[in-house]
Amino acid sequence: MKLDTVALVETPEGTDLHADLAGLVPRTLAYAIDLLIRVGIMCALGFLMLFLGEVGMGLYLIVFFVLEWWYPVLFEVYRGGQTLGKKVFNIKVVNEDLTPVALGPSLTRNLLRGADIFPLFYATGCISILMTERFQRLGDLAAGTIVVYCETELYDRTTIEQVEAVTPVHTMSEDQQIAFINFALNKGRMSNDRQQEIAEIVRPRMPLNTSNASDYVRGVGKWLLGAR
Amino acid sequence: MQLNTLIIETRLRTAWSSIDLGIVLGRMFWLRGFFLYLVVAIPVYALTRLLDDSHSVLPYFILWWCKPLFERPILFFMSRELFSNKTSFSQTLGYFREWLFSGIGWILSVRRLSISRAMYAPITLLERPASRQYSQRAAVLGNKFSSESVWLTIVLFHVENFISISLLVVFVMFFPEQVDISLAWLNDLRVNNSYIDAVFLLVMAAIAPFYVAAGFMLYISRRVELEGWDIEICFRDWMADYKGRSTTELVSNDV
Repeated sequence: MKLDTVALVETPEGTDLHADLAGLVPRTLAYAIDLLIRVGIMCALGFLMLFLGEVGMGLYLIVFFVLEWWYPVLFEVYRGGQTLGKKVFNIKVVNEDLTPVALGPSLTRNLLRGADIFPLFYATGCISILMTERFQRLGDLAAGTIVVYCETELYDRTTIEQVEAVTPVHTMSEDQQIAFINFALNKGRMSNDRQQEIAEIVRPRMPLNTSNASDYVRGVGKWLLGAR
Repeated sequence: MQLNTLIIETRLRTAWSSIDLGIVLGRMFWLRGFFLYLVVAIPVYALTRLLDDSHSVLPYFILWWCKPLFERPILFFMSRELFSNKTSFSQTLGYFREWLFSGIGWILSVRRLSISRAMYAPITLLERPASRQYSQRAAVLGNKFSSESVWLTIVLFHVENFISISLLVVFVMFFPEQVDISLAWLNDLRVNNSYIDAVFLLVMAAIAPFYVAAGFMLYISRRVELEGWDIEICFRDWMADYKGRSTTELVSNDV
């Protein structure tokens, strides 16, 4: 078993769902953004409420309560598991089986911030995220939630517009298809020598008249992406 | 370089995901990393005790400045373990010539100032380029992921200090009121106090395996992408499989 950061879920139908777990560093930064937003709102509001005297103070405390305890919950439940900070880092809260998070678990994980914050600055939560296998703080462990990345496209597909598609003459497993596609999309990142070196590995499976191995592999990659 | 001996799943990752993988690696080798860090750091700590109280934060500053030096043995054994070369605590110490001297002047001077040093430390230790090649190499690798490596340092530096302060606060909170522990630092944080420096050093050592591994994984991820490691591994497995199968076919035909 090789080291990875993936959360795998086997469904009864036999298909595997997977998502990349998000760890301490992006989560801390996402939290920092949320904190800045909340502090910003409270500062602006505090200034306005100065003119309202004691009523203002009351309103101010109500808003503080709502922001502190309901801001993350509402965003997590009604905005696909993402607070504004999490959106910036493209991460979201989901249940351990990768289903969207509902009100109950979201409330649990956010109420337990009180435990994670102990004694100061979320020290307990940080240690918990570092130590647990799926990067969970205490609130996550109690609510059965994890934080994962939303799927993203790692490659820019415009780089292979000039490539000519090649129809492969062999069968390929899913992993091999991904390797061909990655090779095609990786154009311009790897040096030409290196591309040639890697493409030559699969020379035994190419048609005998293939002249340029890397053009062949790249062409097959493009073909696999749907070009004909 | 034997890519098939890698202990990590090689696939294309974002910078954040690379850092997360580093955290997993750091957790796996945490104990060894923690103690190796202390082995190098404690002599420096002992030296800083020679300074008297008038030097306020200087001892802490010295420890902080020497961090890249303390992190060296961790990076060294992790770079070997990454390719399944088992390197124990004592073996790492035995190989001290490999990790202690090369580029030590650089990492404690100019390169100490780089906020993204975790990502570039493997260049100095593992590739050992001449200084001009170093900047070219750093530019190529830092073409992507450089801002994330800065954030890595910022976040883990804060986590480290937050945990240190938390530990000290917990200590004070749980101490009976009747006993006067006269913690002078509560009144004056600039006081040079062996105990406080020791707590900070222990937490530095506890965070270091994660920090080193995360930076190392940023470096490795860039190489995976630039050199197509993921593709090479897949192609080689495929060909090994293919050749294996065609030989068995030949053999069975002969029989």
